[in-house]
Amino acid sequence: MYGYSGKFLHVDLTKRKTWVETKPEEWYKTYIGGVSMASRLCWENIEPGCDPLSPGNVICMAGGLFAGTPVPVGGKYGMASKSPLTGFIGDSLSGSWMAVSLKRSGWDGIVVHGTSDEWVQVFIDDDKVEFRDASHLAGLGTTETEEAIRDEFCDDQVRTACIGPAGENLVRVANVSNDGRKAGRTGQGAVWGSKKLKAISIRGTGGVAVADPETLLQLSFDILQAAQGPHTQKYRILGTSSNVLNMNKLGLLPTRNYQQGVFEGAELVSGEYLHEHYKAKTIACAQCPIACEQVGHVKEGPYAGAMGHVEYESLYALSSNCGVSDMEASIQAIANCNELGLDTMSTGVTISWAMECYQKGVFTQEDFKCEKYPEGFEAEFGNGEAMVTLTEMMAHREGYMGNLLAEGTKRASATVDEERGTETYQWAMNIKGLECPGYDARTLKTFSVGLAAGVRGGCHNRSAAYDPDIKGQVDRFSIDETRGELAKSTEEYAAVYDTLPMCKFIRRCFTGKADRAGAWPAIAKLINATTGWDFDYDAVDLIGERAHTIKKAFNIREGWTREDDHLPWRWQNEPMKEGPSAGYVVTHEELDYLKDIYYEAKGWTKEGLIPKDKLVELGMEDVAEEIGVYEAKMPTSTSKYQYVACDPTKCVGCQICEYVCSYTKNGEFNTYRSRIRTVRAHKVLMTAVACRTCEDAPCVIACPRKALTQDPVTGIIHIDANLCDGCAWCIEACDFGAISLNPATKLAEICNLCEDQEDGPQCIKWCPKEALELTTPDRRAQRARHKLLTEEAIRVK
Amino acid sequence: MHIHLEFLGVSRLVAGTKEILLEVEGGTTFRGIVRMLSEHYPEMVGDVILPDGETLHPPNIFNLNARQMIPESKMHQSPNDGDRIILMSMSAGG
Repeated sequence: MYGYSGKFLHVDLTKRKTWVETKPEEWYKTYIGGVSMASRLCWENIEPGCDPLSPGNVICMAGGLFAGTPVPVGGKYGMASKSPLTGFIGDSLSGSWMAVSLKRSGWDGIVVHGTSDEWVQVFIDDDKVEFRDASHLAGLGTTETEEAIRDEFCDDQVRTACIGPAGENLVRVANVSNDGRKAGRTGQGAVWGSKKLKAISIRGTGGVAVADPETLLQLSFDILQAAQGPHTQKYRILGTSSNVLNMNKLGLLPTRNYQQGVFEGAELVSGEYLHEHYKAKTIACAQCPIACEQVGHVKEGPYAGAMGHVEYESLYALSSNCGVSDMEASIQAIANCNELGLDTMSTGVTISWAMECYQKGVFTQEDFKCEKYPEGFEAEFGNGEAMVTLTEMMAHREGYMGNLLAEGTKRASATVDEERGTETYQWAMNIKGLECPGYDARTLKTFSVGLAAGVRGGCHNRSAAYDPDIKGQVDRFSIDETRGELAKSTEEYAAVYDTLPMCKFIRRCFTGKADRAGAWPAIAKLINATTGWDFDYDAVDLIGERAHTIKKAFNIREGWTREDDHLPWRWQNEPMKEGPSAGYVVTHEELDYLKDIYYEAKGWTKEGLIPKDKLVELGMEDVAEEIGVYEAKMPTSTSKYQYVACDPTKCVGCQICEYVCSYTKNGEFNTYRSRIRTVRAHKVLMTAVACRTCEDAPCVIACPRKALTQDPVTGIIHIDANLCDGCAWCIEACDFGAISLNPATKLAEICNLCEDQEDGPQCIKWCPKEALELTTPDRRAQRARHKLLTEEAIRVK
Repeated sequence: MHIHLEFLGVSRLVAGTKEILLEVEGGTTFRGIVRMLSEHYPEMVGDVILPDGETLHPPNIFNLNARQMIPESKMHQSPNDGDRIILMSMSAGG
């Protein structure tokens, strides 16, 4: 097998032992790498229902298919475990040298089980594994830890992923850091902390064998050239923080805990301002020719010396969303998060929740006591020093507030509401427990369902449904029937990149177009040159659907229900007062509808569960066995065939049709034996129902004994009395209640349009009100449209 | 008529200003405004504007009055007097 080693390393921290697992090639073709492979490993190794911070949870790291090859932006790996923040799948991506070292060490992934008694560092030296004491590293920051380990080995090729004090203290928004990059979201750092795993270090000295090195090199070179052009110019020059002003102009910039979408101080915390006043350097991940990471450096003042990697998502959370327009405080807060091992997004949003609680009198200065400020401090919006101090308090769980906020917004608000009888959950901006990203979804209606249904919670990277909204491909202020498919399509598009994994910033560099048609054929070529497989457009497209499905399956096994696909209270109940997004919320009716059409687009049930057939179709038979639901495919009754239809405006419910039918078929006047039934559709509305001769008739499909057959010319259903055993599955399957059981013979009976009568259906012949006719669905629909048009014309007139 | 044209991102760095006031004839299209930009700021051609001088280089895009994006298919339309056009690079992420 090319591109992979075929081996996974299992590490048991409790027993201090390791073992090797191999997987068949088909498995690799299904799960590829990155977040998909890591999530699949979670599926295989985590006992459902386990406490995320218990030894039963596992840490799964999965390499990238292109890591260690020349493919640009392929130096990434995926990490997953059960999230201590959400209780569902927690998956993250990180990039750079750690990913390359993992690949070169000859492992496709690592699965860490159990819990150590003492702080431990796992050192992987190609195929050798060593458990090393890490007690001297406890308490160190992330870069301090990496440097200390590099010094110990006197080898700068030893790459380390580690946690900071936040992870050690089981802060639920803690991350894992390597080479200055982070597996940032869903609290992976706390899982490491619960296992007393301070660091995993890898020295990988091997090469990566690929199927067609010459082709791979040429393809990589072409992409590399394109990556130096205008497609990535924004990222190279300003970085993602240039989105601050974009979002602010559109009224989407989270401000003061999402109370507003326009921040008066946005210019002072913009990417443009950073570029002009604080930019120290631009750096890249390993294997990346783009180099988007803008390093901000504070030269003087109270935060002199602070240096942080400033991304848009870090910046909105630790500036506008806390009402802070002091770029120096923001850089310091981001630097704190980086070093202490905190997710900047969840940290910023949790702090902004605390600030709103302070603004509204739930918290007082006393609640913010800490060593640095023994009397506490005023945690009002705009107080940059309060924001900076709270990052430190959270990481160390210092004082009442530090300990509270370390739990994230969902748990913190629940605790406060219980303690103080408040309703601060209304300001807790999370989805499934994961804090929301830097796009206010009240006027990003497609994105709203992408977020609500997001398998890891409030995340823009996994959904990407903001794209059609903010680019004007759809009206972002309203909803329509296309949004379910759009949300599905964008999340599966993103999942392809997260699974390979490749950085999404390369997406325009294949052909100039970022859509599937522009990227998938090129990605297929890269996969084939690496592995020797025969992937095409469709195979690449399936990567995304499978990746998303395995994560969703994990959540279902953990007890997910439709109600878990929610939005924060504020986005559904509280419109903004100013700016382009003023006046909008995502109403409960809108979200319900969006969920319906999203689940439908995914091929799931109305409850959001996955049918067995769907999982089998995706090559996930074992998953189907565990969580797949049986959903009989019952097509709706559309048909080209004729049937007896009743006009309810003419029908008076006299039941003459029933008497005539029973007499014609059985020689007796007995309405119980009729194959047409008169029913009351409304207080004053009667109608009669007979077989609708559905195409692909559900009754025929449902019959387990194949007693029912459908005439391909007339559509009439015939029942073979020798095969029918009266099981009544056909009755269950019929949406119209048009089949009955003969009380004497216990055999099914159904209208056959009186095919044995020369003058056709006798019920039509004898109906005194001419309410019955032989017609087709198309003819009825055409008549209804004509009627509607006429009524409208009359109204206009 | 007068149009306010605001620059964000790389276009602001190139233009060296946050905003300009354009005086244009009634009926001037959005594409016509791109042509004017190419003439005023030739450095934008390449990074922000395609070499034809009249097409914005994706993901650069016009936004009208903070409400409506103007995709390529609508560049033949015209703004109204007093409208505010924002030239932004709409690649999200981070």
